[in-house]
Amino acid sequence: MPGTAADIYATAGRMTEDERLAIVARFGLDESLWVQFYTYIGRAFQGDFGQSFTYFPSNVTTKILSALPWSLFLIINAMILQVIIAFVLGATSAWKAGGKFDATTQAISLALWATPMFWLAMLALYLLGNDLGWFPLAGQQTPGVTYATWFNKIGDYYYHAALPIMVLVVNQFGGYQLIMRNTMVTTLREHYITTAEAKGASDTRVKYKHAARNAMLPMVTSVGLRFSLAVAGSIFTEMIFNYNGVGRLIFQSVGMRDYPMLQGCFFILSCSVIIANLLVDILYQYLDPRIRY
Amino acid sequence: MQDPEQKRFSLWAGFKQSLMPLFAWWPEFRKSKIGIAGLIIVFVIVSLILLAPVIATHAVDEKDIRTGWTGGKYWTAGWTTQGSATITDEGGPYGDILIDEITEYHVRLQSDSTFIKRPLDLSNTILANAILQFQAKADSFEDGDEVRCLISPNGVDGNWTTALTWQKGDDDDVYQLYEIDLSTYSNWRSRNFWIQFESRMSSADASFYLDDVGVLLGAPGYDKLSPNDDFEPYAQRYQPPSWRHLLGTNSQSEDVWSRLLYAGQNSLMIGFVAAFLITSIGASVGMMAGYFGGVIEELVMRLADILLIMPRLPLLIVLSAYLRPGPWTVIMLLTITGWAGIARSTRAQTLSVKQHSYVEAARSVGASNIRIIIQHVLPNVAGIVIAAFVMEVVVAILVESGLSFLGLGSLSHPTLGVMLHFAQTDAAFTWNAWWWIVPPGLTIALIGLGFAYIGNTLNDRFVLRLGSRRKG
Repeated sequence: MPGTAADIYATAGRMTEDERLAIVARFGLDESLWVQFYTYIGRAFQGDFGQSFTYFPSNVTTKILSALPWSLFLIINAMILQVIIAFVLGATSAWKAGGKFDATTQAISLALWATPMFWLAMLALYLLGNDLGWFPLAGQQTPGVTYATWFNKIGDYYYHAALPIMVLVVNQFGGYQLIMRNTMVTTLREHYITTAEAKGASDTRVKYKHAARNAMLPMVTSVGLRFSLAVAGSIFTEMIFNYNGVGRLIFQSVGMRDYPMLQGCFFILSCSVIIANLLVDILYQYLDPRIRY
Repeated sequence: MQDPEQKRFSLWAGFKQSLMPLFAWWPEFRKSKIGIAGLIIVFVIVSLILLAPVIATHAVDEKDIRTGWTGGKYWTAGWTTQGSATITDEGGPYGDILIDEITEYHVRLQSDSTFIKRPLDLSNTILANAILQFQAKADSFEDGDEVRCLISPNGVDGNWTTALTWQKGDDDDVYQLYEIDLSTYSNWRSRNFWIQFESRMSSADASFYLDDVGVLLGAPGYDKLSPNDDFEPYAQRYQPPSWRHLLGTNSQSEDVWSRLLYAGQNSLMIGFVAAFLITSIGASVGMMAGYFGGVIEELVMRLADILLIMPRLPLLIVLSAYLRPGPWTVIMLLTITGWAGIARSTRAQTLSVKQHSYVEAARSVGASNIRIIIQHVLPNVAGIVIAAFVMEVVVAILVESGLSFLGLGSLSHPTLGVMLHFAQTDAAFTWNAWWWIVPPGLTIALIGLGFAYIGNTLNDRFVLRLGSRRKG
């Protein structure tokens, strides 16, 4: 989708050539590419990603920073739920690997994983939001409401985030579940499991206290890497549920060829993925005391 | 003494043995119900999609507007800008056939080189005066721009009479309804009555839109212009599934079933080619890096690490925002951003294969690197690579459909994602047109699920080699 923002402006407002050139100059687009690049990098290091073409005169950085918490709210909630569901399902299906439950959960989670998320979101919005009216159709909070307590506020946030989070969880828990299940299968072959069983520990105790606790390590490591998948998912869910996060910002910027905004969003998202990986590494120490950095 | 029976047998055995590695996975694979289910689903869907030319009921771009203009009225659909009207059917079923009974009239809309011809059935109407009615809008007119509506009452080319002219300043931004009293044209009821629109634009973004082009014909004193005169702008828009349209029609009066099949072809093609490139490039890079090591390995693997940690979809969005959309652009972008995962796992496997004593033995008898890679390393990474390929098909199809859904897909080769993109932008749900939304998504899901089942089974049995049951 080549073209410049000035083209879009010019078509929308029917600009004269002079006006178009003035806009080009205003954004510094008349400089050579190298100069533009150099200036951009220089400013980017100071946290300034330029001005948005669409939300002029808003700064890209402020715009993104105001959208980021909403995205993180969705992503983090969804990931916690995914990990919990995967932990339980994965441990249980590995306990009787090859059994009926194992086969069914694997079949279902693979099927959900292979389903396009935006399609799930469309269906969820239509069926649960529109037809049944259980969930709000758009937005991240009820507009124009002053909350009595912070509890109501959080409740309203969750009420609006429920559908997006649900779609993210349903579509993406399968990845964790597979990892959990596969490690659990190998963990269950360890001698210490046999020992635990021999000394008479109950099945639940063996399953969760002995096996699953150790088997969850690879799954936790994958949280960092899978964070970027959740970010991708949030683009679709935010777009379809009109949720004002970074994902929706990206979607709008694509249509308006708002390149500074796109680059800024991409940069911030990459940073958040890296930070997530760092946090996972730190968390790992507590989960696996053998690891020392 | 040579027994011929035995010789034939051993020949067959030798043949079988050389083919065995190709089918070695099958006995193990067939034990998995999920894997078999995946194979069946993939087989059914892929054959349906490949049979598209046979089982599609309509051509890809065919718009069903043949009915719905009964009673002297015809509405075109999808006229957007001049020069891109595609409903044209020049020389089609209603070409210049001269017929004796005056039962058909033709309307011809011209947009640069494109013609639209459809008959008007006027046999039921009692008409003294006729009025031609349509809406038009001119946008971004510059000096010298001109649009004309011409009429040729006797259907002879070159005998055009100007009926209306638009010039600069007219009708900006609003659609306006135009009525032309046809009674001023003496012999408009002749065998062939033509209407033609001509435009001459000086700038690229100037455009002339026709909307609801119709010919409303009526007699004085008649309120309704024709017997069957319900306002029906887009003849076969949003038709629910029927025998004529197995999956209904979309907002452009196109047959969803046929479009689904062709879109499926494009999705599969992109998925397969991208997955093939991703796995072959990823596997070769991984094997080379693992086998040779050194600076190149460091460089390549650090690059892979960077790619792995970068959020892929946002990266793809940013990249494709700069590029011209097309199937090969998407394939290229998917490949560039996708090879790293496979490179990493093949490298790890190669490193462990390298430690084996048979590799050392091969090297000590002077086998070349290429020979060792092909004979010893490749068979050992093949399991990983094949399982990864199958999974990568799913991922490629999903990512491509996501990009297309966001409006970054190729319109020349519409995929299933592009279909859903238009369903979303045309608000198909507000028309309750589930037949336009559910089938494309379901097709992606089924293709993905089939390949995922196969891939997962391959992964379980040949890569992880997980046993089946821990306890009885």
